[in-house]
Amino acid sequence: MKFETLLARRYITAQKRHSVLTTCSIVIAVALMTMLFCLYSTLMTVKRNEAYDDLPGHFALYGLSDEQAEKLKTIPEIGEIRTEEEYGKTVRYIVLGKEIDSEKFFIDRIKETAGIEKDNHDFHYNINYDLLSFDRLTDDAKLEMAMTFAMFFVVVIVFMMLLRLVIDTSFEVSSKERERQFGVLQSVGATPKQIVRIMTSEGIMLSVIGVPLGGALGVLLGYVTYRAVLTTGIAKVMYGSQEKIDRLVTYSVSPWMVALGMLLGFVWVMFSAYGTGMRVIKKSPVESISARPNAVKKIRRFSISGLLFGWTGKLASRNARRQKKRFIITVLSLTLSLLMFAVFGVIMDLAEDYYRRAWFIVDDLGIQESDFVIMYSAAELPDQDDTDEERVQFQLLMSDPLAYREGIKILSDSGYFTDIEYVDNRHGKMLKQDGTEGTRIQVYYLNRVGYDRIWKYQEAPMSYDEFVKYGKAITLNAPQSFLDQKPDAVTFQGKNMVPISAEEGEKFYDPDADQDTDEERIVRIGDGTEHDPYVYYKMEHFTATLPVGMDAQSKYANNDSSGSGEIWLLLPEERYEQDLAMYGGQQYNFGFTISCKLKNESDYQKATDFIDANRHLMIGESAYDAMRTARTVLAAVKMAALFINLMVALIAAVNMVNIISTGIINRKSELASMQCCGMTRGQMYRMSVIECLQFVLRAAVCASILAVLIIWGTDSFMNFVVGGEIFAQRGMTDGGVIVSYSVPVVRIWLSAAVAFVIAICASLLPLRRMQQEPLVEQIRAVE
Amino acid sequence: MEFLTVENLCKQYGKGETQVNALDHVSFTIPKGQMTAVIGPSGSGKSTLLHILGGVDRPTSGKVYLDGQDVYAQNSKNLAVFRRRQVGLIYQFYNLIPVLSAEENITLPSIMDGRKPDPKQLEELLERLSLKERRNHLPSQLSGGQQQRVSIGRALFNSPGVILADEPTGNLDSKNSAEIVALLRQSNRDFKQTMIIITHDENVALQCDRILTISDGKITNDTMNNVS
Repeated sequence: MKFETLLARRYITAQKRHSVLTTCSIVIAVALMTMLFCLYSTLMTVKRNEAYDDLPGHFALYGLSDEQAEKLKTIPEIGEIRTEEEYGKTVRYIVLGKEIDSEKFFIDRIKETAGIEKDNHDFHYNINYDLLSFDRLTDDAKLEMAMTFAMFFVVVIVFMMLLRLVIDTSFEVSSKERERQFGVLQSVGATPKQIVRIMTSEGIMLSVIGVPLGGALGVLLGYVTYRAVLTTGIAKVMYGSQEKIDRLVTYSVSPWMVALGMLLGFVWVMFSAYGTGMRVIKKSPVESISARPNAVKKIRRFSISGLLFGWTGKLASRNARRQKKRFIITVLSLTLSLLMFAVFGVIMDLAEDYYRRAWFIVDDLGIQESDFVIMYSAAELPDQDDTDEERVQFQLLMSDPLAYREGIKILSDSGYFTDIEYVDNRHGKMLKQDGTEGTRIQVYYLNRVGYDRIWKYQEAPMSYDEFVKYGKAITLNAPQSFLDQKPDAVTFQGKNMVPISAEEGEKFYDPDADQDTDEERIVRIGDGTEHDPYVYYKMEHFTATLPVGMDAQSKYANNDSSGSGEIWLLLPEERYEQDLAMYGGQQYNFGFTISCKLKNESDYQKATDFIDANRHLMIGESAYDAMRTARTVLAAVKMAALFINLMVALIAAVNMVNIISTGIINRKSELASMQCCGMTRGQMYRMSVIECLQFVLRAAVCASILAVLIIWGTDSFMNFVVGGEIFAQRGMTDGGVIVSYSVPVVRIWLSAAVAFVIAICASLLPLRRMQQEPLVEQIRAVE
Repeated sequence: MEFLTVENLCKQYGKGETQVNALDHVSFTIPKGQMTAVIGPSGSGKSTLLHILGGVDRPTSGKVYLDGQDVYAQNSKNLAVFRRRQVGLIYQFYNLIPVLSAEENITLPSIMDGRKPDPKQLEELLERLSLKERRNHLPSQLSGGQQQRVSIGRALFNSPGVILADEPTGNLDSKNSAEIVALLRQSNRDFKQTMIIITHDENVALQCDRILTISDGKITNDTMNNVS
């Protein structure tokens, strides 16, 4: 056995802890690399399946006779010809090729072999370019796939750079401890090459265990990621049915890809081992031998830790900076990971929230955050045309004004819906003292859900129960002059429809009359058939007086345009029945809306089917489907972000654990020396905890500052480029601020607390282990 | 008046066939202010004895009394405080804290004790150790002799009852060795501190009041020295 191999083997067995740590780093690095390749392989397989699903061959040939098709079998580039039949007749021939130079030449060859004349217009063909690419059959396809793989490889290289930190740290720590020994070896005649070879032999030996383990773990991690992606529902959005998903979206582990991932992981390990060896031989033997372990050449005397925690803090601060480069790298990776976790999460939440709300209707009272809006609901209307909303509306005017209760009951009884909101709107014009008409008035009767929705993003003037007992209307919107007057009551005039006889109706009915302005107009409903005869109504005025109480302006009421000069009054649903007598029957141009949320996401289809089945009672509009698609896409993006985040967090955590635990192990004799001078265990643990705190605290502070800056940037972008009012209207702002500053900062500090716990474990575990050794043994470590 | 009493001290390492008796029923007493040299061949148990006297290593059996106090009757926390206040340890390889300056290394036991170092005492000690100019230097910026002086300063600063030195000149040239021994002798005389010095150097041993010879874990010779 060569002496390099022998020494490498001895070092591995002698430095068990370091060997385990390095092997773990190799396993993690190879696993992540293999996982990446497995996911690439899966993506390519899914894309191929998709292409195959569109056309199950490379070419589809139409207009060929059976004899002509038979002749094609002599073409060596053709692997298989399948016949597709419909009603016992051949529709097309599916061709699967082998090696094809160019699809154009191939088609020419087919024409030539089959003997297809130029003027034969029956013959035509389809080329499945995607499948040709995935199967790499043509020269162009090979080039295309090579380009795709090259793009993927760019990602792999970036990933490798990150992973290098993990493996490098382990090798460097283990070599650092042997620096003197390497110096001695060189002084007794070992060549620099041999020293490097010791490190690379160590890399190979540790890889024997690490690479296969990493490979297996990578395949498993790939599968976990694949399952996680499926659970987001993105596949459902892309492929629709579960049957199609099962057929197309399969986890594919290509042995070549796994091997390539493992090989790249191994190459990277060797790079790290070689690099470490090269760093070792940069020092002359004398430098290596005379270098005392943990020699410190420069220190920063002032430290915040010292100021806060006294001498233990001062020592901890100086210790942390002994390996400045690694300290900075660890703090940076930790900062990045905390920042990504917090800020990306918040921005994605904002996007999700925005998209969620973007699908909602913004009505007069603010944002309508429901899954279904049932435009009109009433008692059963036989034989109506479901698609004619106008007609339904007029038909409803004839119905019982309390019919909405039946609609609510039907919805409620179905068991599919929750948060059922009811808003009835009556309007008219305020009557001045001189009898003339004034400001337009809108009266909204709402149930508890409707009332609570108005005040969802701001403080309610009173609870709904208090509102019911209040007995007066709340003014939601009104001109300043009205608010200044503070009237106790308001009287307004509206329009009513009174049924009249067919004779009278036919006499005065004018089909060209303006529906909105002609108050004396006769309204006709029905299609004049025997089945649905005409019914006539005459317009009449009503006068109503409502008590008015407090005003409570809503920040989110949609009063930008028409509503700005109107008076909007809110009243509880409980009062509606009582006030009906005042309105005196069916009112012209009134409306009521019932909206609700879906109780269980899985019941979406049943709920829509229910609404469809009851279209004679209600016309439902759903924003749910589009919303669900947006949510699914966002969930997939979040998933990808989380994946990258996890990778960065893992690298940061491994670095931190490495630097902290090896820092403790490297200072074994020094810590023992301090104990000999009278340092208690408590003081030592305290110092170690402060050391951990420094990493986490620095990272958390940096991440918080960066987070605030990023959020400020995002908020400014949203406010000034996208437009703050869009967000304000959807109740997404708080004092003009769209993106929350507090949430990411809180998230950063919570994650930092988790990192702190990990750091403490990495520090206290080796310390406790060390404490099991007698002090004398610990102090001898240096001698 | 006996200041340090050692009774039937035994220390064994390993088990069965590999068992080694590093100390084998060692007993002696040392009066306050005596400077004692412990000599003996390598592996005779000198360093083990010193570590046990300093409360660094626990004996397998036997007792150590320092100023009437049973050293090993204390729990580990009190033992650390005992080392801090009652013992000054000097090592051959100095064992200084690399991130602390010379001055900070010297005052470390006092700082660990939660006391503010007495500036007057520090100045006197730095003067005595000839380290005034080097007080802010890190151990890596000091010579071997200077590092050992810092180590002695650390041992002396808290005015402990006993100074234990494990081959304090073992890593130094003859000039530096002579300076270190003179320094220890001077401190012994000035502060009446009890000192136990392990050494291979005959010149060092001859400057001590008493020489204990240890061999195979036993005291084989106990000679008083007439040092003028």
